[in-house]
Amino acid sequence: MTGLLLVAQNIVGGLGIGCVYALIALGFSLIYRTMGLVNFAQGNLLMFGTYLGLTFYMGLLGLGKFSPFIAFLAGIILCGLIGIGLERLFRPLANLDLSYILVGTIGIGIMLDNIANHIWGSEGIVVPAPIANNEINVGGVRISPYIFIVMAMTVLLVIGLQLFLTRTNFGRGLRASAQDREIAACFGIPVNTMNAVAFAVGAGLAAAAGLLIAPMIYVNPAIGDSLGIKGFVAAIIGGLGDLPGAVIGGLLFGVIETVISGYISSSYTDLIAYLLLTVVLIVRPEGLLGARTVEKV
Amino acid sequence: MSKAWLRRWRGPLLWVALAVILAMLPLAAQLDSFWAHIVNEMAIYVILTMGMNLVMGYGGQINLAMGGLFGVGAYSTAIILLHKGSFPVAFVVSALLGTLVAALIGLPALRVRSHYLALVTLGLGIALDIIFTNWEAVTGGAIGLTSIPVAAIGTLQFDDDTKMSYLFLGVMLATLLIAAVFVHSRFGRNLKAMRDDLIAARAMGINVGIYQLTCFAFSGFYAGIAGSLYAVWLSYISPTSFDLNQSIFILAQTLVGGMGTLIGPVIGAILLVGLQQYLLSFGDLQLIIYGALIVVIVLVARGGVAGGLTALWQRLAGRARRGRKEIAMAPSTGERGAVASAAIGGTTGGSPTREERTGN
Amino acid sequence: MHLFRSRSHRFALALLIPFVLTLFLAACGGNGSTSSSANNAPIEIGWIGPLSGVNAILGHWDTQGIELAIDAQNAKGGIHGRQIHLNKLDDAADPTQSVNDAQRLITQNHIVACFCTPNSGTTLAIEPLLTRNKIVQITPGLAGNLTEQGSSYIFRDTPMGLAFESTLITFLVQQKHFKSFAIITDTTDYGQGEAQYQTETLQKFGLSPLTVQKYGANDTDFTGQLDAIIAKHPQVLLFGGSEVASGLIAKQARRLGFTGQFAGGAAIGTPKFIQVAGASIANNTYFTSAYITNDKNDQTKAFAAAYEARWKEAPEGHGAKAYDGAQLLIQALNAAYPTITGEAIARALHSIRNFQGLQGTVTFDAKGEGFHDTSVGVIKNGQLTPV
Repeated sequence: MTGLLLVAQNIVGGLGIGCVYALIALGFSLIYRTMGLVNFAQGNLLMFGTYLGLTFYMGLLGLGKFSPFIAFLAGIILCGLIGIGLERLFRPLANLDLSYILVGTIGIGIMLDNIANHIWGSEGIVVPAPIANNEINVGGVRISPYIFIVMAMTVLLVIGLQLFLTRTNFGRGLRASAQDREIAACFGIPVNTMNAVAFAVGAGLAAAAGLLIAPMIYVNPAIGDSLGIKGFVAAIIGGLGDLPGAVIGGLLFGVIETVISGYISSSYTDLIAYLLLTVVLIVRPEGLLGARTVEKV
Repeated sequence: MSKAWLRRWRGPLLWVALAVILAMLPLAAQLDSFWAHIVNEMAIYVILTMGMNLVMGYGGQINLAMGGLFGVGAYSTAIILLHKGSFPVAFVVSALLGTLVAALIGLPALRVRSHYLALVTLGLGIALDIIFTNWEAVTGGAIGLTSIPVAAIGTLQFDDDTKMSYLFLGVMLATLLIAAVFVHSRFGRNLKAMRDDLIAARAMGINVGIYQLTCFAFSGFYAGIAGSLYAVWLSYISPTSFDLNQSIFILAQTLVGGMGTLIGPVIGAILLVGLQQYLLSFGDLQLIIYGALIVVIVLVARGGVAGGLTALWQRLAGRARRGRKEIAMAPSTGERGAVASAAIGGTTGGSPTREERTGN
Repeated sequence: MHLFRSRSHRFALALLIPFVLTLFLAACGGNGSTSSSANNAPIEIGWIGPLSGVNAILGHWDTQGIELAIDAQNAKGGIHGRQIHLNKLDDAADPTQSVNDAQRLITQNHIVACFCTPNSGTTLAIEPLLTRNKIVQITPGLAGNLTEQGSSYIFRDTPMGLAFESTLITFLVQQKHFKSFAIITDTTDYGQGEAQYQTETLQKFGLSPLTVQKYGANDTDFTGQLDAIIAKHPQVLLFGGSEVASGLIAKQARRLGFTGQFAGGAAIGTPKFIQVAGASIANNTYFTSAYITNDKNDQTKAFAAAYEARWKEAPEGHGAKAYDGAQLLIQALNAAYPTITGEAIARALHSIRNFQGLQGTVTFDAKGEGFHDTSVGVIKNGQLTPV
């Protein structure tokens, strides 16, 4: 493989895994944008939602096999319900320092991981892609067609969410209650319902992301933590709370990761990534696309 | 001994009394190796939790790199001992290196907004874990370091858990004392002011960045000490003990015990380490319960056990009227930013202010 | 004044708690060890390993193999009338917890032998403790240094990692005349160990790997590493990591245009690798195993039938080695009877000559190595077959 082709192949591969990170980052940014908190259980919700959907797609618990479409929907809805449950659970903390809910989500994440372990076992499953997935050759660079579906869905999701948040009344209500609960309540916005919807959408998004990427990875209860961290980093790089930023951050992170492991060193790939994160946080904490409103000490 | 002096140092004096009592216990109890082993584990975690508590409860930050700093201490001691160094030297080096690395991690505190600092610690903690796992030449890589020599001070060899318990408990009590003195000092009181109201504190001339950096350095000091003890405890260390999960475990203990109190870390460490022992036979339910515990504590008992006991005592003693004033001074209850502001969240509670959002 | 009092009251209360707790600990402590040598008392055996967390599957397979053997023996009357009681404790592959588990088993359950652990790291952590307490330790771990700690109480119930890799590489170099190799492995202690053995064996033939690429245990995309490998044009790609990751790597390698030979040690000779990679991609991959197929002989067939009947899944290498370990222990217990102590059992194990296990013939050396037979296999039509 010539040098240029190698670079192109690495970039394409990076974009592929970058989509995975982008979808997870979307979830983090969405919940931050609409609720003002970092949900450390986002990765674990992704894993759990994926398992829920796959239960129907692959007949895991003997409940029967259904079409990909129905399984997809089932996974999203069930996971969304969990999100609503979480909002209800953390409602007493809503007026306090958000660090409480944050730590609470860490606990929820641990529970989700091990409940999944208990229900579906730790072995993990191989998920077949719903379409024929023979790679195509574009000028010497090999691409899996499934990637295009994932990219397309990601773009649709971002546009859809962005429109929902900025153009609909409901979306505006969500943003208002995130910005200032008390004032929003004064305006008659049902803040608790807003939070419930925000959490539900965030959780549903996590499930959708997981189910989309399931054929690209190996699904087991441990993926929540590792994917969650990387998606979180991607969200910060792009600017926490900025939806297009989350996608760009994810794609960028994927490409950087792949290029580093291909050219510099594969052992220290992650190290470089996290040091990069540190630099970003120090130099430009609002991320690439975030508005420069963060106060520096 | 003037009355004022007595009043000021009453807290630490009580701690000295506590220290003496606890130090006598192994002698009285003649712990066999099983219980000595558990006591040793608790001692190590008390030290770690005290470090985290200083950063979180008093400094107002979350330090998610505690696991990594713990590792810095452990590897330093292990490597020195494996190269025929002496334990006292290794111990001191571990403490110093822990302090140094923690200070480096906390340096961004001078530049960056508080909640982003927590994220920096997350990233750097993971970075430390990666270094431990991959720097095979020095740390043994993922396989770790085996056959670490036992701790020896002069001719005293600490080669079983019972003997180690004297050393470990002694060190633990020393760290408690240091923490008590620190908290009651002028520095400590300024810290409380800073934690309760950042802007007012700055107006009073407190350099917030330097204070937070000092807290970080302190937590590293404690982590280094704990790591040194850990290395000679099991005679084997590997990177899996110093990862993000370890930092979260320490965080959980700090929370459960009660942040911003001196006794909180002791209670939290004893409770969670003891709970872990109890749950050992439950298989995978163990972790589910652990996660549920974190959620319950956050929901129900934010002051942790220490806060709960304080509240209980005050209610029993009927101090409800004067209680309002005391609660404001008690660090662990209430909404006014009493606890660490984590990744995102203002110090004044409630929804984040406009400054912290990144656009709409 | 009132502040003063409340604070000291608080401290008094605070003083009480650790005091009371430690007294409680002290009161419960001091259990003398009583030997359970009563004629019908059960023989206490321990098991430590991951039952939760990412490695839980290893614990799952290991306990199934052991329980199959022990329950069968208990049904036959146990050891001269004494039932074998297996005490299982989870360690989630965390060394601190493993040692805690071992401590508890020793002082509370008074075990005489322990199966621990499927992970080399935790096995190492427990080893000094068990040796000091003269308790037999049977481990399925692969790392070479497990038997290099100077203990006469540790026994491995499978060939060591080096044996698998050495047989594989020797086959590839001498029989198949391959000359250029690349290694891809993970950053866990298992992966680092396997890559080390592969490199060592290659060096014996005057070769060295063109490149050694690493990935994190949970990674799912290996484009960077594979591109770096493909650029060097190796004839063979050696897998050092787990079956799942290696399966994913195999798939991606083919997609990226790698046309060379796949090969790997014990982890590749598993149905899981075939499942993840897909039968067509896994086809023609070389591997080494001590237990290639359930159909090898009557003994393995009987084992497979019993395993399937009990656990409703087909057994493979992990279950087989656990079963072998348990059978060896049972043999030693019978030989040592009526002296059921760690020392006697260890002596009995060392005295075993040519025991017929599922993985081959066993005679333990002084270090605790008894299994040496590894053979090369190839994956054909989604099945593990001998070469």
